[in-house]
Amino acid sequence: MADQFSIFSVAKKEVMDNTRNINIIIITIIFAILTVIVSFLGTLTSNGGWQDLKTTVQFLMFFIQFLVPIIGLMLGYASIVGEIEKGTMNALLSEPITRLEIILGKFLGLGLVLAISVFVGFGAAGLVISLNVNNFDFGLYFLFIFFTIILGLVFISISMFFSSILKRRSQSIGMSIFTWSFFSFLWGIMLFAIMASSGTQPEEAEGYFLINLFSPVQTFLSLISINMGSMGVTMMPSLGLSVWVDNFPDFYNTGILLTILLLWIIIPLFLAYISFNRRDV
Amino acid sequence: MGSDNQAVINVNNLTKIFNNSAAVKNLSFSVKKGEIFGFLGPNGAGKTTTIKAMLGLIFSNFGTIQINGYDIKRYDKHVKRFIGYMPEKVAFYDNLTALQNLSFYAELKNVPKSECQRLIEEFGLAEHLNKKVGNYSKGMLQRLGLARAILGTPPILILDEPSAGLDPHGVKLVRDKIKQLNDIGVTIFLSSHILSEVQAICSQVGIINNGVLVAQDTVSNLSQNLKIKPKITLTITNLTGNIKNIAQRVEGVERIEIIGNNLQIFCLPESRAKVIIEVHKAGGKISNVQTEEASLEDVFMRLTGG
Repeated sequence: MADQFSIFSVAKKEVMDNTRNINIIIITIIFAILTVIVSFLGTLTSNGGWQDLKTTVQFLMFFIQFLVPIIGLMLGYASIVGEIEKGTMNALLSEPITRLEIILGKFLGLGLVLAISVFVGFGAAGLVISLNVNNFDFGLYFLFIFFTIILGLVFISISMFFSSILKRRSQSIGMSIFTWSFFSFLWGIMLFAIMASSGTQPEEAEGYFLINLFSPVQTFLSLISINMGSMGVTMMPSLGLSVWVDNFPDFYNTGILLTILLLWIIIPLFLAYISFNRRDV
Repeated sequence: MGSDNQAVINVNNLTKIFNNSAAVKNLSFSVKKGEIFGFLGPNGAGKTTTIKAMLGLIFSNFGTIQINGYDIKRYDKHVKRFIGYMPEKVAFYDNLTALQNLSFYAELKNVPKSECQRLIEEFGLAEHLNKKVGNYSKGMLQRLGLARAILGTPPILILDEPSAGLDPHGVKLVRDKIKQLNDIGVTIFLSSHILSEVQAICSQVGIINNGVLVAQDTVSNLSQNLKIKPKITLTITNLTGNIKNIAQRVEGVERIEIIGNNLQIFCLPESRAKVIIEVHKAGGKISNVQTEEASLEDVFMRLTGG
């Protein structure tokens, strides 16, 4: 049975350690600046002035799907293997704490750091937007922030899995970069190639929506799209192609999409624990 | 020193295999309560593997390890409440200060945080209390590592090369601390390459070579069992070959070496007086006599084939 006190102690340590990590600070600042800039860029496509929330979110999604996974992967890739290489895991495991408590504590702590980073970024943007937009819907904006944090947690979980199975930190970085490229770039290209070769539109291809559920990034984009209004989801933002999908099938609903993202969190985290629990340190 | 005969560390037939090669083979030993146990062996002999297995950091292929009567595999978390550990490679979280680092471990051990500051001061790091550990020197890290190990005064202390990288003041500090803790009943398991240090403070030693325990006893018993002769050095102003030959004929003398004016004689303790008398009778002018017991180094070299 995991001890909450030990989990919170590890989580607190992770927050203290990572909020002093210069790389995390830099990416949070970049995130905040980009969020404000992107929300302001909406002025270029409208009648001038600040965009309303939905349009702003639509713009933000273009870079969130790249940046948030990077933050998640950066936080998690060294969480296990980095400590083993450095030698701190030896000391930690010699304390009265189980490996499950370490995994849960680290996930909780890194998740909090990511949440802080996202809140700082979106908080800055949200404040600026709310001052310039009439009838700003804070509830909707917080929902957007919540879903974004879930996406980040998915990538923390994936990177913690890599960190627990791989022997070197460099391998963990490599796998994290590959995962990011795969879901942020290659996935869209692959699906687009399939669509193009079969000559079908996304809306017409039955398998398209099903396959897309295997990508946490696409699932996140669909979740945002469904909840924030009919603004569609782009298949290939990396190539600047806007293939908007407005009509989602019936099985695309908040409950299912959120469950899929939660499974993307739970399964890699569980596998990370299984692997770490058998690992010699 | 609290010394009853209760074994607080019991290692039985421990075997650990890495890449089809046994790092430790059927290793068995025990450490009694209140002992300072020196664990010795050449590089790669299996010392750190054994220590890591004792702490549950690595999983043994065969064998059992009991700490205070509890199996480490079954009662991992409970067992670690009894243990303080200082690894060979001391590492901390670089972005945190010494106080923040120790406070984290104090939380896990359920030790009051006030003890962290006291220990940091005791180990001469008071000025660096709120500095990030990433800026610490190796010696400072070693001191902080020992402070971490003794947080909460655990009844068993496992130290892997605690003096490595320390200046003479640091070495003395560590040695004094070990003695001080042992005086209040703490059992100490000490792995070290500094044989003189081990000889000076350990009541028992275990020597491991190629993953096998080749000896476990007191240093004097080991040297007796191995028939390692103590050494007597006579400084003779008119040293000649004849004097050496006469000394060589005394019963109990194993071998003799001449180094300058010194005659180094390896012999049984009871033969020492007779050697001195015979050298004197042969006209040797003895200006100094120095006796040396068999050292741990002699034992170590004999057992590990050095």
